Order: sequence, then C-alpha cells, then structure tokens
Amino acid sequence: MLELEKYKRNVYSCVRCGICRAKYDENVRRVCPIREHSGGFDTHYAKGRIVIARGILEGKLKYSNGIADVLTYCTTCRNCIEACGAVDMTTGNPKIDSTTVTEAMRADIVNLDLTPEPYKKLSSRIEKDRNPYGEPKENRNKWAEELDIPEKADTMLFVGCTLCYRRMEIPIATAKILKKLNIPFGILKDEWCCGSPLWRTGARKLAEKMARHNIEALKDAKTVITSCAGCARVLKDDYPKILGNLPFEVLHFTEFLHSLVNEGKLKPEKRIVKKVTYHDPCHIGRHLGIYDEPREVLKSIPGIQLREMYPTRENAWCCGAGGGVKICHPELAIEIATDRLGHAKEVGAEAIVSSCPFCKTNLLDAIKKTGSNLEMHDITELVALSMGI
Amino acid sequence: MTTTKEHHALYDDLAAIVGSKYVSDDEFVLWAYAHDSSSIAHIYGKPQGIVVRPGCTEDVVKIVKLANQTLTPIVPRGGGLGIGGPLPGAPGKAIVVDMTRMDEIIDIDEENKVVLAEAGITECELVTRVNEKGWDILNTAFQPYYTTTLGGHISGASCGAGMHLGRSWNWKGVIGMKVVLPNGTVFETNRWNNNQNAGQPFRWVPAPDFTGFFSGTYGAFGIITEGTLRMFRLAKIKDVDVMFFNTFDDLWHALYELAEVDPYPCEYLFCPDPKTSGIMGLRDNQFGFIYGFEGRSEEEAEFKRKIVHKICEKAGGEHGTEIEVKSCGDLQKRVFKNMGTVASIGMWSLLELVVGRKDFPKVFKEHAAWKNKKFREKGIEGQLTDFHLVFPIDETFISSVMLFYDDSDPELRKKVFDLTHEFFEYINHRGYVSFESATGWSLATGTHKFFRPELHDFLYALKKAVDPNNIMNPGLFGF
Repeated sequence: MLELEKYKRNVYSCVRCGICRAKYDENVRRVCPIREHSGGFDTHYAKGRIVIARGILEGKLKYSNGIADVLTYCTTCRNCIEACGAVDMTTGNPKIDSTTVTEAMRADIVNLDLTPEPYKKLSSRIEKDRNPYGEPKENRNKWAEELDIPEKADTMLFVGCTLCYRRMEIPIATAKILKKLNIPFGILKDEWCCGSPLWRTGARKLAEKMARHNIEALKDAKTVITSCAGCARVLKDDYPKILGNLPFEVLHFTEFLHSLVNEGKLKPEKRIVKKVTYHDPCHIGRHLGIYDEPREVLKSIPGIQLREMYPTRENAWCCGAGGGVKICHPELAIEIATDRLGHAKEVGAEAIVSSCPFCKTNLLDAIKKTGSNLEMHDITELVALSMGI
Repeated sequence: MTTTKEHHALYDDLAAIVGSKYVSDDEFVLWAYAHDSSSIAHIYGKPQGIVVRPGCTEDVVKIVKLANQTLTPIVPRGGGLGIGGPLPGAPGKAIVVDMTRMDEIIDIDEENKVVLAEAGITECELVTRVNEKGWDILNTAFQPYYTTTLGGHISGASCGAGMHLGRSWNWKGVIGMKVVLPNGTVFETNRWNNNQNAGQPFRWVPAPDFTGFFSGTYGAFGIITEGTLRMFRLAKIKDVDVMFFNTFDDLWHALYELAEVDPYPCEYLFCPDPKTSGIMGLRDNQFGFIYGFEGRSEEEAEFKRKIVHKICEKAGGEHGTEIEVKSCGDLQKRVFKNMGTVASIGMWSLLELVVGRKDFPKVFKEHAAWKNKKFREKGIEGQLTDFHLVFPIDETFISSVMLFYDDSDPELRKKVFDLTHEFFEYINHRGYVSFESATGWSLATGTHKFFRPELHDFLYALKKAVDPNNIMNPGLFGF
C-alpha cells in the first residue's frame, strides 16, 4: 500500500484554487519560495503536487524518476498550508496538509526504490555515522570537551547533528548559559541523528530507528531541551506520532529561555545596541507555533531594537534550506535565503537572529555569496553575550 | 535530472526562446496543467504537449510565430482557475503558454488613475499593491477569482466578467490591453490611431472597442500580455451591515428599488436564502441581506447606510442584531480574500444563472424548485452542503446555487457532475446565461448549443479570419 493512501482525504479536499501559490495581502507576499525561484511550473508548489498525488491515487500516473525529482523541490516550510487555511471541521487540523502529502510521496519514492541520489547519500551517511555529514561518531561531543557536562541529568540537552558538527558556537553558548544559571543538565554519550532529514525526505524506517534509539537513551530524563529547530519539531511532533507519548517533556531552547525570563531567573544585563530582526525558522514557527517566546527573550536584552520583517511569524519566508532542498539544490536554497536578507534590509536591521542552525548556515551562505554586511546570530549567542559569557 | 525520453518536437526551439528552465514536457507536469479548479477537471482534463513560461511579450510573440510556422496549437493559461472545465486544446501536441511568469506591475499611474500590469499578475497581488498606494480596482474579493491572473480575468477564463459585488462587473474597469495576435503581431487595444500618442488607452476612443472585443474570448483571438485598469480611490471607511426579510417577495421589493439608486450605495451585497443564512450562523427562517458600505468619510458611509436602511425598512426588512452584524463582519474577513473557509466545506460546483431584473423573481423561485427536485431525484439531500444566494450586479441579478461536496466519494462526484450538466441543459432551454455553461469545456464544445446561431456563425467567421491556422485555443467557437 502506498503511504499516500493514508492522506487521501487531504488530496481530495484540495479545490485547486491556487492560493498556495498566489496569496498576497498585507501579511503575505506570495507563498512558495520554491515556486518563485525555480522554473515555477504548477508542479513546483502545493497545488500541482496535490494534482499529481490524485493522479497517482487514481492510477492515472505512476511514480517515476521525474516525479521523484520534482518532489525534492519542497522545503516543507508549510507556508502553503498557512495560506490555504482550510480546516478539517471535525479535528481542527489543516484540511489540506500539502506538506504531509509531499512527505508521504517522498516515502513512497523511497519505498519504490526511486530515491534521488542526494537523499540516498544522506540516508547512508546517517545509517553509518549517525549524522548526515558523514562525520566520525566519536567527534560528536567534541564541542563539549572543555565543558565537563555529565551524561545523565533530569534535564537533557539534545544537541543535534548540525550543532555538533557545523555550528558548535550554538551548543557552546547554550551550555554556558545553563551553567551560568546553575541549571544541572546532561548530554547523551551516544546521541544519534534525531531523524529530521530522514523524516522530511521520506526515509521513514531509518528515521524510526533513530527515534527508538534516542527515546531509549533519553528515557530517564524529565525534560529534553534542544537549540535546534529541526530536532525540536521531530522530538515534539514526529516521535509521538510514531511511538506514542514520550516519557519526557520536550522544549525548544527559546521556550526554556522564555520561561526563565518570565520567572525572573534570567536577566540579561549587558547592553547590545543593535537593530535586529527575528527570522522564524519554519520548524518551530509554522510547525510548532513558537513565535512569541524568542521575541520576548530578545526584547529582554537591553539595547536590542527588534524590528519585524515583512512577511513574518505565521507567514515568514522560509530560509530555503529545509526539506532536503539544501542538499539537493544548494544554489536554489541560497537564492531563497537572499530574499530574506532583502526583507531584513528593508526594515533597517543590522543583524538577523534566528533559532535554527540550518537557517543560520543558509543565511550565512547567502550573506557570503551576496557580500551583504548583515550579521547573523543564533538567539543563544546573543543571550550568552548579554549575560557576559 | 537527465532523462533519455524523446522530447516534444518544439522543445529545443522553445528552450531557445525562454531558456530551458522554463520549458517542460514531463508527463506529470502536463498532467498538472490539465487540471484547473473546476469540478469537472478530472473528467475532461487532457495533458497537452509541452508547457512554456514566457517572461515578456517578445517571448510570447516568438512562441506564437513558432506555433504558426509549425501549425502547433497553443493553449494560453493563467492561474488555472477556470471553473467551466479545461479547454480541449490538442492533447499530446499543444503548447500550454503559462503566463504567470509575467507578473509585474509596470506602472501605477496615480495622476491618470490607471494601473498597467502584466497579464500573469494575480488579482490579489494587484489589488493589494494598488491598495497600498491608496487606490482600488474592480475585483472579486473571494476565491477562486481572487487568485486569478489579470489575463485570465480579462479573457474570461476565470469565469466570465467577474463580479465586484455591488459595484459592477470587473470588465468595466478594463481600459485597454496588449494582445499578441495569432500571427504574432502585437496589438494594443483602444489607443488612438495617431501614432504620436503614446499615452494611456482610452476605452471610448472613436473606433471599435477592441478591449471589449478581446474580453471573454478565452485567448481564441490572441494572448493578452498586459492590461490597463481604471483605479478609484480606496475608501477610508468600510463597514458591514445585515437586514432580514420574511419572504423572497419582501426581499425582492428592496432589491428592485435599490437597483435604481445611482450611484449604488453598497460596496457589496449578497442575499442568502433562509437555509444558507442558517448555515452562515444567521437566521434560518428569513432571507438575509448582507451588505458592505464605504465612504471617504464617516458621514458619506453613514449616508449610504441610511439609504439602504430606508429602502429595506420600506420593504419590511428587519435590522440584524449587533451580534449578527459582527458575525457578518467576521464572515467577510474569513471568506473575502481567503480560501480556507470555503475549501473547508468541500469541493464546489456552481449552478449559477444571470438574468435581468424583470424576470428575476420568477427565475429565482424556479431555480430553487428545480434544485430541490433534482436533489430528491438523485437522493443527494443531506450528502452535500448547498448555498443559494442572490447577487445583484448592475442591471442583472444572479441566482447562485453553490454545491459543496466530498470529492473523494466517486458516486457523489458522479451525481454532482450529472447535475451540473443537467443544469446547463436547464438554463439553455430557458434562454438564461451562466458563466459556467459558457466558459471552459462548455464553451469549447457547446457554443452551437448555447449561442444563438448568428452569434455562433459570426464568431466562427471572425476566428477563421483572425486565426486561419486555428492556432489559438482550437475548439473554441466551433472552429
């Protein structure tokens, strides 16, 4: 049975109005970053993919290498779902969850052995090295060598592959903040990839394997925090869907910081005089609804002037990296990120702040490529700076 | 991804015109383009031969000339929002010209109160961007019309002239357009014949009104690449109100009198029958009268509201409660400029008809009776949601039955499909007009049935003269 069959109602609910391409109002400037930067055919945004899905369900189309290729053109940013707004009146969930339909089709592609080469390489690296970068397993906690972090605690920091191997400044800042606040925490000795890139690109069996390992490893924790938006989405949303209720609470680090600010336990004191704008990562924004917490944390830093980009929050423009796009279409990902730099410039920001290592990497790539003078920071770095660490 | 498949015969030529990024003959791409937003798309949609996305008028000229040289048909396409069904084209062969890459506003000319834009821009983007400058254009604020392209709107592909509920038909706001004729000539409508005048088009130039001529021809006489629209000042005050009537006759008395008020006091107006009113969360035992009004000042808006109140009160209308008025405001926010609320109900099929004022009461009642009879006959009562509304627009009135159903139920889908066709026959026998019956698939296959013979023959002759090779949208007007 095709994975797509499970989402038949989603597929048949689409009325093909095309608002997932074209919505434009005071809050939204078009919808699909891929559609705007690719050849722009109907198949490069939600409506066309849904039409293909229906053709497959009705036996009029068959999965092919071409369809597999076109399915790689989706950042899974869920802006199309936000623009659509159709709701299943019995559940309150999106009626046309086009991102989930795309992910189901990707799963079919994998099951039918039509997996695009970049996805194959990604899966094979994760299978072998437990991270998508092919980095040695033993180097995973290298970033923490000087920090003396225990392996067990009630509060566990789930670090994530990108932070461990590519954006070490973020977990270092995270750990230093926790230490300065005297919050006991641990990191796993044998953390595996959370499975986010696998889930988003259809390799569900391997993703489940990752999930089972991590849940077992974290089973004694009461709270799991993560500074990675992708990990947060998977831990909070995908794990329970597949494996049932988790034995611990999951918080993105911005939620954790926000509660500390609210409780008066975190008081950033050092002034950072800077005009900043917050880029909502899709994985904690539209995927998890975390919008206010990071903004409140930023506002608690003296000297910070927070300016909202247009579009923002629920309608924020994706950075372009998600859903496997960065690995399959790196230039396209940077083109999309360049849009975001423009949005930041429009509001006079000196720096973009985000809370996702993947967004940070892609936006930095765009800054480098365009020669922009914008700064790019993860929110934890600014918080750490304002705490004098 | 590289493929070894055999490309369409014009693949390389088209790629040379627009760049290979903007050409595709992949089977699944053609499949996607074969399906518009009509309920019958999955029955009539047939993949054409190749899709091309031109970036400028010059690209379109080259594509059209190439098509003529090679006798390859063209199917122009905007946002794919036709609800009359996809055009037949020439399956497996025709070039689908996707105009949505040409989506720029060329000029918002505030002094002359016109906006010039490329044909591929969506109505919602155009409206938003002129609104940002303090202006407005005639537009239809609800889906699917709100995401139609300018070209799709002018050509009639997105279901006819378009309704700016209350103000007028949207086509009245079109002043001129740039069209690539079937021979590749670029023609700008309603400009003075004087070559020295490079100014804006003037619709009422003392010459044939070619803006009107090309409106609603579905691209059969040329591909629209630009349009010029009249702008008017965006009102500062916008508000909503609702009245209720015990009977259709009472409602009709109000509508009849209101139709003579000039300028029309409502920004928009629609009247749900009692059942629809109930579904909307209003009164289920009275006809609703939901209207928006606007003004450049509080006084102007209030003046308009009072005109409507006076007419409605005289006809026996009751004022909505504060809660009902608020509910209508919320409804407007949810439905206008948004799709979610409508799509949440289900796939749609529209059984609409348009008639003049004189015949409307009789037609409305007959329409309602016909619908109820058909529902009983087909045993679909309770299986779908149906709305019945009245929209007064200018000198005409629309009786609109909207069906919302579960498209995943093949049996129900078939019944709705049959019902839609029976409705076309119904209105055809009675001499009424319907947008759905005269657009898309129906237009291509049924002009001999729906149009008077002399109109059909005239269009046939025109088409033959303008497009002897039958390049543009073959099948239209019997050609």
